[in-house]
Amino acid sequence: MTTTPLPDVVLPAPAVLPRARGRDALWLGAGVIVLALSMLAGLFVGAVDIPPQDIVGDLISRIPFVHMHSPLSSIDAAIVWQLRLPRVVLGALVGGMLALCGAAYQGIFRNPLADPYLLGVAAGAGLGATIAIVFAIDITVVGVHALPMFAFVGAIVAVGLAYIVGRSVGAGRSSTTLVLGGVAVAAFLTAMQTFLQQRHTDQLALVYNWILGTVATDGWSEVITMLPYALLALVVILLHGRLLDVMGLGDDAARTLGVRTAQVRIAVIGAVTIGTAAAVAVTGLIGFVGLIIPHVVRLLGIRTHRTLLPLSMLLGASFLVLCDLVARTAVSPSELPIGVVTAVIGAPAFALVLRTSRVHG
Amino acid sequence: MINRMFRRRYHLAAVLGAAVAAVVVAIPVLGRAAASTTRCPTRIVSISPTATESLFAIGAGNRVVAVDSDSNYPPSAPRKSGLIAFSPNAEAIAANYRPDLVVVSFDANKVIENLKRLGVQVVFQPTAKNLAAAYQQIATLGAVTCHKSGARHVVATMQHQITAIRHTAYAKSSGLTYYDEISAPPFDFAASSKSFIGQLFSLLGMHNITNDSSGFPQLSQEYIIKSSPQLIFLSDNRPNDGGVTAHAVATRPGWSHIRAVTNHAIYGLNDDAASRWGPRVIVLMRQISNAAFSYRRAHH
Amino acid sequence: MTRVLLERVSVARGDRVVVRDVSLDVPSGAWVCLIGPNGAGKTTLLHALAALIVHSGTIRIGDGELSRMSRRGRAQQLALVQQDSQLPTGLRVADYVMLGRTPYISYFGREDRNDRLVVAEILEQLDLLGLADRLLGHLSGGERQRVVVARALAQLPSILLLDEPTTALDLGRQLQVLELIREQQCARALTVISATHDLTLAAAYADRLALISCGSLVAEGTPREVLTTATLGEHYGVSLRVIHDEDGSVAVIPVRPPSVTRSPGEA
Repeated sequence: MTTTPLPDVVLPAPAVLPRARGRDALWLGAGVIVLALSMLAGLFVGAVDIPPQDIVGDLISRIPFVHMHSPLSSIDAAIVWQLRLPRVVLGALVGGMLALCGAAYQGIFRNPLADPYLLGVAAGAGLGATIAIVFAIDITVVGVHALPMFAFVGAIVAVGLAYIVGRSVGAGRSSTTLVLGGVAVAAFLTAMQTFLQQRHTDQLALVYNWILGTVATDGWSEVITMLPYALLALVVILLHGRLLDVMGLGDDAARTLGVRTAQVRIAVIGAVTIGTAAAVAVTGLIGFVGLIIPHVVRLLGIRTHRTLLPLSMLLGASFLVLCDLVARTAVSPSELPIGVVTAVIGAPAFALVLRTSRVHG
Repeated sequence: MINRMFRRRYHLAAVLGAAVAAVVVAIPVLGRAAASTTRCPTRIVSISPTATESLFAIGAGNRVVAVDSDSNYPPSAPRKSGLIAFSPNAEAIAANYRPDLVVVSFDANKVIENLKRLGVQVVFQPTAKNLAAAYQQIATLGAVTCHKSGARHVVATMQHQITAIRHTAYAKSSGLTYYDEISAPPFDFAASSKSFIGQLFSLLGMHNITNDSSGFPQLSQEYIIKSSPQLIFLSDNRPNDGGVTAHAVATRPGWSHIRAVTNHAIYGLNDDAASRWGPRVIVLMRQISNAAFSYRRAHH
Repeated sequence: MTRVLLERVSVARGDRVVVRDVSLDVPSGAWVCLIGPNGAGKTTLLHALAALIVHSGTIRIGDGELSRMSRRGRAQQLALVQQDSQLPTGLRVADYVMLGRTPYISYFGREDRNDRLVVAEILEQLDLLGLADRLLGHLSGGERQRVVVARALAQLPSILLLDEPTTALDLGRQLQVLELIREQQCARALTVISATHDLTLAAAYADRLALISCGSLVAEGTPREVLTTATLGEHYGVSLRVIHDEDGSVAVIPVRPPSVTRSPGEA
């Protein structure tokens, strides 16, 4: 790091500078607490009434060397640890990933309407899932079932196609051509998916179920399938926090500041694609989270991506966990599609936050 | 300087690593499945309307404690309006009804795996491809519910009745062409000869206007009119829940040229039976053979 | 203090040559202002200096050559203030100015105490301390321009490039901004290259002018040398009157074309 010698001026204390730094740390701490509470709520509340203190008691009884009899029946314990816990963890993982990716895309495309499905990820994953379902592909590779694998590959291929289409049209550097390429690819892939669905209407319900999105789990397999990709995406995106702020100045300004804009864009888009594809592969298309949560965080006064990204992640995780709680208890013994819950709860909540923030200016 | 830059990264990485390690350790600690039973089930839940019919037919009905909202036959089955086959919740099913056996025809929300984790026995019986598969499903239910002889009896009865119907009707029905409509225009879904119900028609020697391999093709109206089937069957003919009447079909533009329309040979099938593959296929067979009879009577 | 030397620089956009064979010597510590009609190629030339577009010919920055410098090296020497900076409205002034420190921060790094000191000092010098926490969307035109200049100065460049820094500002603000730049130029020993439409202001503040017309450098020298009625009339295609004052200042006055009918009020 080189510096030119500073002119001879009396310097004020750096304390006048981003005072917001301390405030942001507080928000992050609050976000962690909210997530912890949400996950506890998801664990304690469900279609079945199981007293929280018994759950705690059961946990304690499982610690080695602690000789305590569990207060839970074996079926209740199975409900809590084998059904609810993986589901809550998956919800947090997916909600966090979608919100993080949404915030990253809004930053890299400088567009408040961007969401993680922007470049055809949703259409590609949908087509992949439809292919796996209608052709009843049932192979398992390295412990990963065909359905999430096909969805994941479909998502990646779609973004790749969007990139190729975008580059062949425009100058290649503009993000607008990339987005438009994604629109074209998405339209095409969706048409193919619809065609397949029409040819196999007996599988229609299965495909539709997948598209509506669900956080239901089969033990820990979904979490394990998604985890490596999610961690990779998470690390890459979070590390690019400061660079996203710089990219927000526009490509030209960013380049005069010495930033390789094309590389940054590829890195962020690549990470978002992988993270979103992994999320979509295991839970289908859950909408709304990636679009709205970053805006809620912005309405709290968070301006820089360095704080916006992790806070979006924490808030998105909490939000999806709570929405899933509602989805699996509101119409018990049935479940609501989670996409419906995220929209019904999220939209008015967002409008409310928008209104109160406008009051404060 | 480099140390300073990386110290924060170290902290972050350490926290992440600890979290992942905690989860990895927790999995085997928390992941012991509940034990499953192999005795005769005493509390059965069915979220498959076909399985519900079969269960009651083989004599296991007195053990059935809950069925889904679409299981409307037999009327005495304990229907739960909140229990929906396409969006079940394993936790709720297990807790509300405490079943030791659940029969499922559609694996939504990973309900099969989740029920198994709760120690509930699950039998998965998706749409049967043909009659043999349908018989097999009934036999399986018999084995699993300790009603083997009941199941054998039901299957044997079905087989006898089908044979009897074929015996009397084949001469009349053989060679007739038909079109089986699943949903009206503009959707235009038909059941082809390869669908389950199509195979019942084939047993009576009737020819479907389409042999599409997918089972449920979307036909163009031109094709239907051109094929001019001698009989038209409606699998969805309850007008108050979205179905069509024979009159509505006959008055569709261009359809008056179809032989079935000019001959007034449009027949409704029992809506529920037409979408299931249980013991009531006999009802379907009877309806089809009756239609063939009345057609022959009117037009030698 | 860094000298900038352009040798036969040409820039093409697509198959259209926008800047044609420009050779210009900007002495170290000088303020050279590019003037000329719209579309002459002033902005393109500035962008070539900022390495935003490819050029043929040679651009020397001090002892080095622009195209051989590393990205970060360039960013630490040259700062560009664009004509209409896209300011992210949700950012705070202090955070925005801090973005100017990017060339000194590693890819995944974050700003350190030294960066904060630099930004604090710049905010103080440009009288922006009171606005440090204000959102960029809540600034007036003059404040916004000061902030943008602050961000460029945070790069601690030796060369400052400004594209139309006074457009859309009223006269008072225009003078404020130009005075500010002049101050900073002296305080930090900057070489300044700006482009502007306002000939009088250009003459007042720049040491030398370079007149660009249709992509070529057609006149270069002190304001008195370049701003002559003949030169300007020829290249701007309008009637002008140039007044050279005794104290050295130059004013450019447009001459209205003679009208057939006299408007009321005129003799």
